[in-house]
Amino acid sequence: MSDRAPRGRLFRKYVLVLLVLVGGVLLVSSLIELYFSYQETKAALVRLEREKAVAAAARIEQFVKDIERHLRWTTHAAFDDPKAARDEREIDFLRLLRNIPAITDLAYVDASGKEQLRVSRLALDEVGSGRDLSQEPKFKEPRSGNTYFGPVYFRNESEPYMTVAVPGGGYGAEISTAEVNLKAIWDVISQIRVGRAGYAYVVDSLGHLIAHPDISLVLQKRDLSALPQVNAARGDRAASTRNDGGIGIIASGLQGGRVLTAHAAIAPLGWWVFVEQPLGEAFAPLQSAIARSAVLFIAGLVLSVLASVALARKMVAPIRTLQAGAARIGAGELGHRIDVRTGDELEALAEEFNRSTARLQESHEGLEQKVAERTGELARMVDNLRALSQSSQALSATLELRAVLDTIVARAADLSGAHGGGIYEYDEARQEFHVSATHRMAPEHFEAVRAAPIRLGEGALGLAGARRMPVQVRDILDPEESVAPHIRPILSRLGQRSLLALPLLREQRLLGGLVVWRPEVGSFPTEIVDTLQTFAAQSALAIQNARLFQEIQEQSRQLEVASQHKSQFLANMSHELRTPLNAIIGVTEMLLDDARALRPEDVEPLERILRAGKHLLALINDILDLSKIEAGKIELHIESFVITPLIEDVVTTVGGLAEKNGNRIVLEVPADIGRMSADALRVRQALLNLASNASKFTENGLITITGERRHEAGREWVTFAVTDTGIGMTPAQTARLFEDFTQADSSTTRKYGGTGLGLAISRRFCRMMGGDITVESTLGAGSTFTMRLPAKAEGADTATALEGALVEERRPVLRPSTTRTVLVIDDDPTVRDLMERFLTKEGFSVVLAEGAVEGLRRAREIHPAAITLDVLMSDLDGWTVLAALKGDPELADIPVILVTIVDEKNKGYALGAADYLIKPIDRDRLARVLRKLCGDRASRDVLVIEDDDTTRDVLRSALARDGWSVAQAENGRVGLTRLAERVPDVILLDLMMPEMDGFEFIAELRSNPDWRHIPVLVVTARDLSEEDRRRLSGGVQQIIQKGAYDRDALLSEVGRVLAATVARGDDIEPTNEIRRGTVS
Amino acid sequence: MSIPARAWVAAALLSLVPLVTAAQEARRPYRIGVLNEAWAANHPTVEGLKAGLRELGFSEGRDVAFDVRFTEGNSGATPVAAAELVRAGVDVIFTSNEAATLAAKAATQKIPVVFTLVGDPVAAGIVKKLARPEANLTGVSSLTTELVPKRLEALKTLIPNLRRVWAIYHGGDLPSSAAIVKALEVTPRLGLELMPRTVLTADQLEQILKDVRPGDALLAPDIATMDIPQVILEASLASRIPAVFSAELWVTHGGLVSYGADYRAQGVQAARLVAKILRGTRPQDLPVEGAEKISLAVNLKTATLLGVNVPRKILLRADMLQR
Repeated sequence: MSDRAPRGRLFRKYVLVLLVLVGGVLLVSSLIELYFSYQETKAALVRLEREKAVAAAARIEQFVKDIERHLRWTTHAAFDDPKAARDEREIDFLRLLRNIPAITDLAYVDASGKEQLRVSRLALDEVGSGRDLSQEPKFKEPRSGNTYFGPVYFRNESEPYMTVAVPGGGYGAEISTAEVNLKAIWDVISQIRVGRAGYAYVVDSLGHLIAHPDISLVLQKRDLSALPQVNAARGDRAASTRNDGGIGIIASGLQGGRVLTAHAAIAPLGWWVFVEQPLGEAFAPLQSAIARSAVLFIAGLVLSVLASVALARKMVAPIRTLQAGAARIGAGELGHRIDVRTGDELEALAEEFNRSTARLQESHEGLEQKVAERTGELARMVDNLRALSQSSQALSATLELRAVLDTIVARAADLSGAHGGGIYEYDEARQEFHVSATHRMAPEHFEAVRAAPIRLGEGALGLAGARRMPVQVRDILDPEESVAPHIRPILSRLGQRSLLALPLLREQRLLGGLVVWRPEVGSFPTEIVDTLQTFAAQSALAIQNARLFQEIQEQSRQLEVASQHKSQFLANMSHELRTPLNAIIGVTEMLLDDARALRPEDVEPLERILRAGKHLLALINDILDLSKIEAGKIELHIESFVITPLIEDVVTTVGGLAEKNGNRIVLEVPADIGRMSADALRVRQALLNLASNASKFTENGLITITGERRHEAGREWVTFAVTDTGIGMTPAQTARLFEDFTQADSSTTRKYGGTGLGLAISRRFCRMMGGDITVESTLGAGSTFTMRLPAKAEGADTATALEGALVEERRPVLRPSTTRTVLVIDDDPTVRDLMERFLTKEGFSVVLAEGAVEGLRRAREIHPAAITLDVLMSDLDGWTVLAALKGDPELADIPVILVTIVDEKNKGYALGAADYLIKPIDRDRLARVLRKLCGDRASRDVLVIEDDDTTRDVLRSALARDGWSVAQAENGRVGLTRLAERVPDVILLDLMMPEMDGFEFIAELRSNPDWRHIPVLVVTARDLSEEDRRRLSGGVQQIIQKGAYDRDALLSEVGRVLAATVARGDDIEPTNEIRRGTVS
Repeated sequence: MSIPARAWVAAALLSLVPLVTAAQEARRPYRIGVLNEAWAANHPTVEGLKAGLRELGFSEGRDVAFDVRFTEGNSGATPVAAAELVRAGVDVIFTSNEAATLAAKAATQKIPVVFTLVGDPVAAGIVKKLARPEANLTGVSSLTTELVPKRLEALKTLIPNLRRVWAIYHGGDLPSSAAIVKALEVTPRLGLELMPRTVLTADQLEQILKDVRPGDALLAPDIATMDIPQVILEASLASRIPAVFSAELWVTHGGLVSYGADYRAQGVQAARLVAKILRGTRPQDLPVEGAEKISLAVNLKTATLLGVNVPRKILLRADMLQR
């Protein structure tokens, strides 16, 4: 590049100078011409636009003036008798309505500002409405004598209107107003065309767009006062009254882009008409002028380029020859001679060059020979180094010991130019070398070599090891040379005559030896010995690394096995410990029920067993939680959930305890606290722990639970605080509070119970989610525990948050259904009678309505649980009633069942009917539908699959008491048999069972199309891992964890979830929701 | 180095030369599909459309061609005709009445549809919002539902001592029942009692008409399902019961009074929308317009027959007096 760049410079200079002279003149003249034609075109365009704007303004003004004039005619007369005035006006108004279609409403307002008459095209006429308009501008302004033009407004959001008001009557104290449809203005504006893309629009005195060819822009009520052209027009308001304010300017258009714009004022209204044309189109005529100039310019330029090139070439050619010759010589082409025949100084210069070149050539040739020799030497060294570095690369490429050894011996043979070789490991204890790998040696020979280790000091390798330096054997067959006795015959049989042995040393420690051999007799060259020595040092390092790596791998494998055992142990522990304990508690509770009735003397000991059992269960749960946290085995399941229901749930759970101690719970949660992303289960557990602690340590006091959302340090936080008026703590006690197994003082344990683990666990959970729990307390005055969590917990990513959100939405809305009232709307008395009798028998309370209008009224009054509705009724049809019900937010959620002879199901469902029954009524279906809609749960089948007899028994008797018909199975296999006999509405399923466990059962269930739809609730004592959840996902409605509930709580939870699941019918999506509570 | 430099200069100069593109649009007559349930091709809305387009510079044959489908009141044939128009690939479909509009809406989501004679386009489910109609439909709302109070007012003005008005309509017509709801809002103010009745069969219609007593009046529905307006007109003339209608057409055939959007004017008004669409505006950018011309028509001969004395107010206000 650098030797090419100057070559064209002189030539370019000449060409450039000539070009600037000729081309410059051409360019300047073209530009001047262009500038003037631009100015002329612009002026012409602006004139045109301005004319159109003025014409449009005049037409709009005419339109408005006409209306104003007509309106003034209606007010010319004054009457003393108000009624006569009104009648006369009405006649005038009616005429006006007929004459001017743009007016839709006319009104007459008396001197006191009361509306006396209104005549409308669309609404009812009104006489003497007395509406007070005295404070409105349309009344106040005309009284000064001027016509009032109101702001533009939109009817039905699509029709532009303006109020016009004029004074009248005897003293100009009365006024007439007209509502004027301005669509005529839109039409005036839409018809204005300037070129292809030009358009016009109208802006009112406030700068709001009121007419534009694109009507949708107007309906957006755009404020254009910021546009420079609008601003300019409003700015020279004074000038514009002269109606000549429109000077063309270039500005940003209404829809972006640059436009040429002009405007004219509509004087009486204070509005402006703007006419705009995009610059691109406006200046299209200029383009031909530009093209003409450009062609001329190019032609001139081409000519001047040709001329200047020819001229410059003649001047520059000999200099370039000289330069090119010098460059070739400079590049080493010493035989070259420069040939310039100009007969001037340039030719002499060329001769001088040729002479120096000849002298240079001579001295050059001597030097070349020496350089060639040195280069050969260097090349060999470089080769050696390269081979060495390749070898070390190969060595560091692997950490596998076997591969490292093979690589070393193969590379060593290559590096030394030997035929083969072997690598030995050194056994320090026995002071022997054992062969590990060989290169180019048959297996049987390798076996022979391996059979006989080489002792230190014996043979070439032994000596090399002892001396810590290389040892050479020039001729293996020479008995004087030291070669291990069993090696000599093997090598000689292979035809090898000389060898080189090197010790493998690492920090002066002998790790092994390296031997290479070859068929030639004699010493290895010194440089090869040096190279191999370096290579041996690298190899020793590689061997050491590979050995270390092998050890580490072995250790980590052992660690992994140990950790797997630990987590399996934890999972089994939780099952094995909780199952019997649940049985103990369950049986004790049953016995206790009996004892209370029959043997009062047994109650006390049984209660003691129950308390101890529950305490033990709580302790096991807490210890398991704690040990899982310690082992890092606890996984958070971050989901997005609504906060308020969670707090309410906690309050409900802790309510019994609080009541027992005479405490009152107050909830202070803002309605807009919203959602958070966290492990809902753990948040609930922690909050429940705090709330139940507060309830436990407070008697006859007040417990306040507050929730709050706050922005701090760039993050959103959700804070829960539980304040009690209980016994409180000393600072020393609060300090120890969060330690494991600690309550404020050991005597409290005896008095209040509990494990002392709850707080420690809660705090750890909060910390895992990026938050914390803190406490403030005054002895005797109470405590405040504050739990602070990020609104988006650590580890919450969008995917899980989304999943959480879905789960949240599917959660059944639990609304206490206090009434089971059904409203029957039918105009046929027989049907009404029939329905009343039948539905009353089915347990509903029935309200009757004889027709549509009454039905709507009754629905608003009683807000029934469901409505049955006839379609064909004599007053209004059922469709209208249905639409009215669904359109009223108060009533929209009431399910409506259409009961009719008209078969138009799709229309019914489209209008929002919950169901559609065709007369004659299928009573069973009606009852079924109503029961479903009203949340009835009478007589349902449930299949309980559970291996533990006691638990199964407890579930069975409790569910039977609740009115369920229960089938049982002790494992999944039996469960499938029961399914074949009778398909239940819902299945309760344990996970860990003999023969066929819950996971396999679900797989079987889902593969059968007849059973796939049956909802499954998992009730398990097992702690579910992520893997377990994955296996269950999509197969189960809900998971209930046994360990977390006492019997009654578990049963009521199962009952509640069952009822909710069944009530939701068949359209539920499977979820993986888990419910669990805590006992602390 | 020097060659690229020269190329640069040349390219810069060439870019000044404008690219003259022949933006020649292929001229052809636009094809306008007309769909309605009328009994003849020259329904007043269609005549209005043609006149309106003519006024806007579209001459028939050269600029526009009409493909008119009328189904003679056979509602089953309307969707078929709509599908045929879509298959024929017309540029825009012009519909009159709700059924035809819904049929066109069901038949295409691409071809723009401009409707007329639709009483309440939002309630009928034709567009979501008047100001910004969804998809490919816009048109003129005939304001039938909105004008029900005015219709009752006209009756009351003609017959000041009127008390009872019977509103008889087909049970399947949703817009008619919306109109009844609207009427119920104003009847107390007008001192009237409204008797809404739905019918499904001709027998029922006949039965209900028997209950109408002299001194009562009839409010005819806008929608001609089962030919109810015609039956009401005949009953009105036979039993001397005054009746009010939604369109002038019925007054020319002997109805006492009508108040409603003029059919032909709606066609003229819709022609403006059609023209805008043909010139490239998207239908969803054109707000649904309310009918501009609302006319009051009175049949003086029928008034005499019924013994109704037409007051000056009505005479002044009437756009059409049938003598």
